[in-house]
Amino acid sequence: MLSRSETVWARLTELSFIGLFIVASILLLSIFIYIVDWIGIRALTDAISSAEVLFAIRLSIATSSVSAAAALLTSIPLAYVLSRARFRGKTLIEAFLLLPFALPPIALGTALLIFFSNSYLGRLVDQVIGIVFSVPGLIVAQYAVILPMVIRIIKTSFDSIDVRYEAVARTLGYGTLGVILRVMLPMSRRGLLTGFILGFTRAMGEFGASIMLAGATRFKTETIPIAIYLAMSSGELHLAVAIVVISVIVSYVALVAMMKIGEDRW
Amino acid sequence: MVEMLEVVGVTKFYDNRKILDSVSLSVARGERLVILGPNGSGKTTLLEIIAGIIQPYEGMVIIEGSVVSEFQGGKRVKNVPPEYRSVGYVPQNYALFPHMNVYDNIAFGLKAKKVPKLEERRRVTSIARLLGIESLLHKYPSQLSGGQQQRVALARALVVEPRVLLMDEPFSSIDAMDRERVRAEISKIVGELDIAVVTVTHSFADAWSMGDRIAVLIKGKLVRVDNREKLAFDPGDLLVAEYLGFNIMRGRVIDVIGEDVVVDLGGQRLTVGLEPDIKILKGDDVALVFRRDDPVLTECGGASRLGGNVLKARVEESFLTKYSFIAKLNVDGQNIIVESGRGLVNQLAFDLRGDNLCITLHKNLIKIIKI
Repeated sequence: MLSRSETVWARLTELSFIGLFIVASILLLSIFIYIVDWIGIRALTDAISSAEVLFAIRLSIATSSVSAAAALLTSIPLAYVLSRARFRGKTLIEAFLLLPFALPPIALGTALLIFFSNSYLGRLVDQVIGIVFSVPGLIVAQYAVILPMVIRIIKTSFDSIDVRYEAVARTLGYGTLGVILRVMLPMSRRGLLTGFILGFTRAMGEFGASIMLAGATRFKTETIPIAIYLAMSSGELHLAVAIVVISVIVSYVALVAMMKIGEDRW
Repeated sequence: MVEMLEVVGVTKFYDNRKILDSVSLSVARGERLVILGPNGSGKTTLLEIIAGIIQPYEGMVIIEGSVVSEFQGGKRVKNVPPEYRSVGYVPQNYALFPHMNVYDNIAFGLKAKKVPKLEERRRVTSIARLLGIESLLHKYPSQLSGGQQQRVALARALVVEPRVLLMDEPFSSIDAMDRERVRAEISKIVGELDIAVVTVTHSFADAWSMGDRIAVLIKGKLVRVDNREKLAFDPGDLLVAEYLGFNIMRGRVIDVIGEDVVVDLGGQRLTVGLEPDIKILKGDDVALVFRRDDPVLTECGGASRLGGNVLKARVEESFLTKYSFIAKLNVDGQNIIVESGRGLVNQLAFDLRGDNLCITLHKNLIKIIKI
């Protein structure tokens, strides 16, 4: 039994958390409303109907979806090995895989640009697919930025699955691939979804690495952040802010949709 | 009897600590072996080595005559992966897949073996009927009780018709209220299978109900393997006697008369019947081992009428549990416990603290161990 003063404290803590949540929500909402009011509804509708902004929205969603999906797919085997295998030098490898997380995206973009324009292998890939200053370059840049984060999320999710589930599946006739497909993936559904959503959102906002590798060409490699940058650098402040507002709305809608899809069924 | 499972000299280290120390055992077709040991004794590790989930540092696992695992000094000589060992595994928390309903959980192994749909349905239904879980096939694991989950886990392991069934602490997550019933039912079902069954547990009650033979594993060493009736009377050595909770009294042999020895406990004397193959001489230091329910607690006046040794004892503590009466006694400075042994003492009293009473103990119920 909690004593009276403990109950009061528990209640106060609870209320202060709720209060904090309300204050933060009101603050965010008022910033948003202020910005919308500042540029005016007119500028906003103009921006939404402009071909360039629509192009940027579509390109952002398309490239982010592809890069998040690619990051998710490559993270699964990597995260599985990091979560389950025991080998010498594992920490070193894990830290190396997480390294891009610690780098400024612009540095990562520079490294990628040098790789794809100078190294033999990089140039070969660039010639076949066309990476530098083109749309695949956007995907590669976003992928490189989000991969460490996605690996981390999936690994944490795999770590939380009791090894006994795998053990049972093995004795019932499943090899490693079967265990991953039939046990690990369905059981870490939430982690996979979180990895995808966070990867997607981060990719939507990716700027530094993208501009270094894919450049900032209107109607070509113009994602939402690059569109904001281009609008700002050509002095179209209202357009830039309108795109900011749109990007907030687009990301929000995309997040809600993905979270809805991932709601628990069991 | 045909040996279905053999474990030969299995040793395992974790971070330079020896978890299993040259463990060898064998289980015949249709036999149920229980590996009994305290927590951290290496029971689960041994089970996982048999299943092929982890590898030993040294030793062999043989299933139905063929070597499925052989390691020498940490080097692999042969290692058949778990999916090809024909071993059914029921882990401690059952590990039912939460994203599948009961039917899919049971059918999981059949799907790996690509059993045709019709045959799959037949086998799942038949094993579900055997275990009495037919009505649960559409439920999800989170909707089941501990006992039901265990049956599903057992059905999932048995439906693929393994040659060896491994169960890890099968009753530990079942409510105390249901445990006895579930234990009896599962024990009966498992007893009728024509495969080798290995159960690991730290519970004596589980061990004696699930095992034809019991192997006692302490600190990674298999200290005793015997059939359950024998083990219930004769723990063999002091380590096992202590672990199984036998009474142990120490003394010195002061006389050997024919097939009896007289032991001085430090004041009082006890006569012990000697088994033919045990050599005890006058002057030997010995330990006397007997079950907690062997002594009869009596008022001292009526003791001699029962025949046998009579020892004076002071009651340190006494109380009733659900099914038995327990008295902790002091005999010449040595502590013993008498269970369900109110005997001829006042039938209504259970708090006998401080009373001076007598225990009667037949000479043939005492095992003597030279120390």
